[in-house]
Formats: sequence, C-alpha cells, structure tokens
Amino acid sequence: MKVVLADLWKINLDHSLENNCLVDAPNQLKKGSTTTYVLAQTNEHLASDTIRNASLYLPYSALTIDHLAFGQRLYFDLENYPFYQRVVELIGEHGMKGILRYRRTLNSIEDTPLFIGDLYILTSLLGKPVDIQVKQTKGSQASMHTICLIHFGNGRLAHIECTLSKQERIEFEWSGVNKIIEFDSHHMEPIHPSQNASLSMTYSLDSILRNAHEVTEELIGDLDYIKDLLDGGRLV
Amino acid sequence: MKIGIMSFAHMHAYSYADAIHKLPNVELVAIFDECLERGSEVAKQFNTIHYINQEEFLALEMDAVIISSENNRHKEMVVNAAKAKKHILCEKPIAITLEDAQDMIQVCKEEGVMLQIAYPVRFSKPIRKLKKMIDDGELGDVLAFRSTNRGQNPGGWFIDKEQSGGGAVLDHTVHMVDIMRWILNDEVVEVKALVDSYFHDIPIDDAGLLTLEFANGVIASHDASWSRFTEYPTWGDVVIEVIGTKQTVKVDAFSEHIRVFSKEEKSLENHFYGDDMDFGLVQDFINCVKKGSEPSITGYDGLKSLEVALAAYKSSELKKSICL
Repeated sequence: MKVVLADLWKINLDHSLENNCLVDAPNQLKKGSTTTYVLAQTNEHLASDTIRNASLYLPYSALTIDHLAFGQRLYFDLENYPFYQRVVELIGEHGMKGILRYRRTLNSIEDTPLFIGDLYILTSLLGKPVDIQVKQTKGSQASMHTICLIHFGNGRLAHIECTLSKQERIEFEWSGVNKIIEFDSHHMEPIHPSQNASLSMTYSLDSILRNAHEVTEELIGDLDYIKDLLDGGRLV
Repeated sequence: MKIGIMSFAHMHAYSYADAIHKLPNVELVAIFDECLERGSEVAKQFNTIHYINQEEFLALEMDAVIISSENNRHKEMVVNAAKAKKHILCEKPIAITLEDAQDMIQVCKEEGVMLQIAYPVRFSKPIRKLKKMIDDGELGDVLAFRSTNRGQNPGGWFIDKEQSGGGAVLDHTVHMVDIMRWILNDEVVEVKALVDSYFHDIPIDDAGLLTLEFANGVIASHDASWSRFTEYPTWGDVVIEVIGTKQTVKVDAFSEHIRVFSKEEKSLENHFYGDDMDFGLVQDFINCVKKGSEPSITGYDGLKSLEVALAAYKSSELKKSICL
C-alpha cells in the first residue's frame, strides 16, 4: 500500500496511470491494497500510526524530524513541476554552461522548507557548489528576502533567491550559450484572473511516485547542510 | 547653446547627437573624432563639422561637450575639456580606475566646470515612477533589490581590456548600482561577486553575478552580462525589483513594447515605444548648464558606482567579499 501525503491544491490526479484514491483520513486506508492513497499533508496525518506501516511518500515541505524514518520516500516540490522537468531536458540538451537566476516567492516563513528543497534540487542539477554566500535581510525583517550566490565550477553560476510575499511564485531564468530559458509561474498561468490554486504550480501523482527520493543518511545530511547555510549564512 | 561631441567610439554618441538636434536653441557645433572615416561620416549625418585635432576642437566657442570615447580616454578628454572651460557630460563608466575618476572630479572642480555622468536609466519613466513611489513611502522601508542589466556583446574596443577597463561587469553594473544608490541615498559597503567569460570566445568577462550590501543593511543581487544573442527579441534588459516592507515592485525599463513576429532573422522582435531616456539625459544636462546648477548626476556618483564594479572584479579574483 502506497500513501502519498500532498498539498491537495497542488497535486493533479487527472490522467494518472496509478490506481489511486483520494481519502480524507488514515482510517479509510485498506491494508494490503494495491491502491495508492492520497491524503492531505497535515500534522495529524503525519503522526498517524496507520500510515507508518505503508510505503510512504512525504513532501519535504511537511517533513519534521519526528516523522522521519529511513526507507520512507521524500519528494520535492520543484522537481515535480512539469516546467522544471522540461527545463532539465533543455539545459541537458544544450550543455550546462550558463547563469541561473531563480527566485521562489513564498506565502510565509513556515514554507521555507520549499526553498530548502529548491536549493537541493537545483544543486543536484547544476553540480556541487564550490563557493556559496548567503545574505538575508536583517532585523525585524529577517528572512524577508534571501540571496544565495553560488559558484558551481565548470562554468555555472547562480543567484537563487527567496522572498516572503503572501503568494507563491517561481521565476526561473537560465542564460546559457546561445540558449536562454525563461519561466515565470505568474506569466504562464493559463486562467486569468487566476483561481485559488495556480494551475502552473501543480504536478501529478505519477511524477511524485517517479521522482521521490529514498530517505537516507546522505540525503538528510545534504538537506541539513543547506538548512544550516540558510540559518547561518556561512561561506564554504 | 553650443554643444560639441568628443568621439563617436561609444554607440550612445549617436543618440546623444539625435537628442541635441531635437532640442530647441541647442546646436551641435562640431564633433571631434580621431577616426577620420567615422568622424567624416558622422559630421555628414548630423550636418556639423568634423575635427581630427582635439586642441583645435576645444578652442571652438562651445558651452559644453559630451564625451563618448573609449573608457580609457575619458580622463584625458575630461581634463582637456575642463581646462578649455567646457561643461562636460561624460559617458559611463566615469573612468577605468578610481584614481583617474578622482583626478577628473578634482580638475573639473578647479576649473569651475560641471561634470555630469551619463546614467540615462535615471531618466526612464518607469524608473522615475518607482523612485517617486519609494519617496512617497508606498513600498515602506526598502529591504532588498534584485536587478539585471543583460545585453549583447558590443565587440570592438569594449572587449579590449586596455581600452575598456573591463567587460560586461563594468559595462552593466554601474547603471544599476547608480539607480540603487539614487533610491537609497546610501552607499554599498560590501561586494561579493563571481565574474567569468561564458558566452563568447573573448579575452574579457561577459558574465557576472554580484551580491551587495549597503551601509543601512539593504541587500541586493545583480546580474550583469553580455548573454543576449542577436536572435533574442530585444538587445537586453534593465530590470529592478524593490522588496519593501509594504510591497514588492518590479520595474522593467523596456517593458513598453509591441511584439512583432515575422519570417526574418528574428521570428520575434520587441519594438520599444517608451520614452527615450538618452533624450532625457541630454535635456537634463543642457538644463543644468543653462541654470548653472549642480549636475543631477555628479562625478562622485560616477566614482561610487565604478568603485562597486571594480570591487566585483577584485572579489571574484580573491574569492572573497570586498568591504568598501
């Protein structure tokens, strides 16, 4: 039995190849079923003993240390967006040399794990950083805006930024050699005025199942390293 | 008012000459250019006289000159023009070293002439609107900036370090740093940058990312590059986003455009229809000369933005943050 905890505004169950079922509570899960169950990513669901024995898929944004167990599978918001999957193909097709400017706008500071996940996914794409500097706004407005300047070596630079602004948005600009790639989730919204949930910020259940990462010591170590960077802004 | 232009090495000289022609009671009396072919062509184009000798040119009766030479010749031309008692509008960057910039400012002060630096972005209508919004408190306290100034490789002397003093980072950092300083009325105190050559096979930088911190704690990210190729719909961009405590506002100085699709070399081309910021710059300079007022963009403004660009190179070379 697979159980996927997800932000129900973001997950798209249309056309899924999985036999899936959206349920309201863990007590609706049928043990031994081949169905993939989808549940809202609430703290209550996370703490439920019922889902602990399932093959569990957790969004990194919902993860706390209390709920962590090796062997579970983590998935990252950015990695599952269709636009990002296309971007990865395009950058791969045309070589990796270039400059990335990426900005995640978040609703609130509680959503910061989304940005940590973004940094993990982007560094997985661009390579091991050889130089990182983190700057954050100060004082009472600490964390309102974060700038990560990263040198990946081998001709790759990035400004990866995060702004708190009561909305969710992703802006991605890749300046490569004779190839420029631009994405802005606001500009790519297919419905105007936009609805409660942004259609350009949704991803499929199949993508989650395909791209999720097994929780290992190495993965947790990498994520903790990024979290420390944002907390302390240290230079390596 | 009589104006002369010293050198058409920089492409902006052409739009400055256009601006002079559009202004009433302002005359382009002559141009000085050591390149005989270019000087003759330009003189014909703008219906004026070409001088190949700088001394003879500066002996003419003129109120002011616009200097649009290679960067490494700004100092020589500014000093000579100042000694000839001409007010000066000097193309950016003010110079290729801080020492040269300081000397230029000092000479102009001693000779009692105005030295204005050509930062036309200050005359962009959307940028001026942004400044007013900030001054009126609509954004609250400014916390951070995000800016880009990315264009095409201009080639020629721009990619010869001896003549230009630096590549894309020098060329495309000073504009936006000037705008940030103008908005904040504060100075950059720390620069961390990564500078490299990515997009062209040239012996000079064409890419740079800068992170800045101002004395009041405001932070900024800036992307300066020659990453745009000729097939891109526009030559490049000038974009600044201001993150304030009340709201975040993004301004694109070239967003006023129509999109033209065709089967030509560029399948999509942006045609800008907004205000001509070069015209605004020249008009402001002429007005300052007429009134005898302080220039709206001083030599010191030129020096401080140059200081940040040069610190970016140093930061990248030494792989550390540079405190100013």
